[in-house]
Amino acid sequence: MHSNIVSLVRGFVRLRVRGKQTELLLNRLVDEHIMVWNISRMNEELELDIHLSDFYRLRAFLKETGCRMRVIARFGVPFWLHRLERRKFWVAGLLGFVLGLYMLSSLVWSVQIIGNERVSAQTVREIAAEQGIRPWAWKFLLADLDTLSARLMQRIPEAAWIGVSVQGTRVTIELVENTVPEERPLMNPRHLVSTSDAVITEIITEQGKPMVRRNMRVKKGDILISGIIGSDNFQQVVVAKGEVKGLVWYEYEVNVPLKQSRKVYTGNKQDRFYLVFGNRALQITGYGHEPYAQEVKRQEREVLKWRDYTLPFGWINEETYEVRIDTYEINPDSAKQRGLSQVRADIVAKFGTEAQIHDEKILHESIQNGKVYMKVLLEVEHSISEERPIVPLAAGDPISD
Amino acid sequence: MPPLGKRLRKLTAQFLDLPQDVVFDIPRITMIGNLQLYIENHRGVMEFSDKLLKLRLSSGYVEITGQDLVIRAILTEEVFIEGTIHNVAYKIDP
Repeated sequence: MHSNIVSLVRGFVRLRVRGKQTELLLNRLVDEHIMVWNISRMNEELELDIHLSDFYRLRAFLKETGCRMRVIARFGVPFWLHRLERRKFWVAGLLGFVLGLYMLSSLVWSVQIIGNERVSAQTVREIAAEQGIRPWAWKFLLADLDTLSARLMQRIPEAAWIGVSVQGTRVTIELVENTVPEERPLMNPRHLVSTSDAVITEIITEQGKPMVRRNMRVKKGDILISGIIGSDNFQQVVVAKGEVKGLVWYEYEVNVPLKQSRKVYTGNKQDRFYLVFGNRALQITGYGHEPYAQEVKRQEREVLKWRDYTLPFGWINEETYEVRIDTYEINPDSAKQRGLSQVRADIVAKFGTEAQIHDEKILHESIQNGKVYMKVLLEVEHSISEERPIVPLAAGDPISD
Repeated sequence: MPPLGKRLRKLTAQFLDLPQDVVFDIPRITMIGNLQLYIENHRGVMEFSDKLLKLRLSSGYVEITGQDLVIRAILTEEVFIEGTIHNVAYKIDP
């Protein structure tokens, strides 16, 4: 039939028609394709809806059929507009609000800088402000985003890429900074000297002048790789680098008691359970135990977690084991082995796992006062180089040891 | 004996199984309960009140009685009525 929205836009009125020939009027209107609807009879009077545009054509037909009408209600946009004309300030306020909202939303309110690590945000902010990206700037006055990012790229050489994007009233400047290779630590010119008396087994020189060869015997403090290169006339001081390994002899005196003691679990055990709130633990079970003379405690602590968050609640299972100390005797042979393994462990602790033990010799061995005394000579191959800075005594004065 | 044209049309309608209102100039009346009434192919309003509506047809008229009758929409050939409908009656011309 007819759409309600179309009728509202066009505007329509409700009429009350009085007369003897209302049916004739109705037929005439229908014949003339004048749309009328919601027709009802109210005591001799006909009520009907008609479009505003058709309303002005109605007069002729009323006259023709001898009917009279009056308007009882008005609907639709044309009437609303008419009403709005009388409320100018209200309309002005409405328009002002819409305009204000539009203007405020076309301003830049905030500038966000992300991804900067070495360049300070303040620097980026200042450079961006030169290009017009600043709070309270008009968005439509900003240059094209690609142009902006290209200009920022020129001004910020530390950035490998800069992206400028606008989300509503926020401008986001995203930086990806160049990866700069790590700077080499500055080193003073130096020699590499021997840490101990040794026989050289291997020398690899990266920089500097090698002063020793393989199988050469050196003393503590001898220069292995010299930091002074060139002949007497054309000298240069450099940072000596390289790897020098040598055979070194160490003499150890070890004593191992034949009576050894160790901790043994007796099998007695106490359990305690604690609830943990923050930093405090509340003991729940395991009251009333006598503490053991010697004991070992083991705690298992559980903390409640949810995703990445650690909750301040948890519990502790504590187990206390009773121990006693048993003494036992070992034979001299295994005491010897123990002593040797102590010595080997000491070598590893001092020179690292790269140190190689080539030979072990027991020079002297005796059992006295329930202890095994040993004197062990070890032949160890390890790195023997040590740095020694070159301090120029006077201009052109070569350093020699 | 009806005129030849009418007979021919009737035959065609029967042969092709067409609805009668398509072929002849007679109304199609659609009624939804006793609430709504939709009449196509009328020839104008003869009388209208909230209790009675007389619609002229190509032959005779149809008389609708009921309560609170409202013509929701009216076009040259169609009319859409709402209200409580009691009676739809075909009448021969007076």
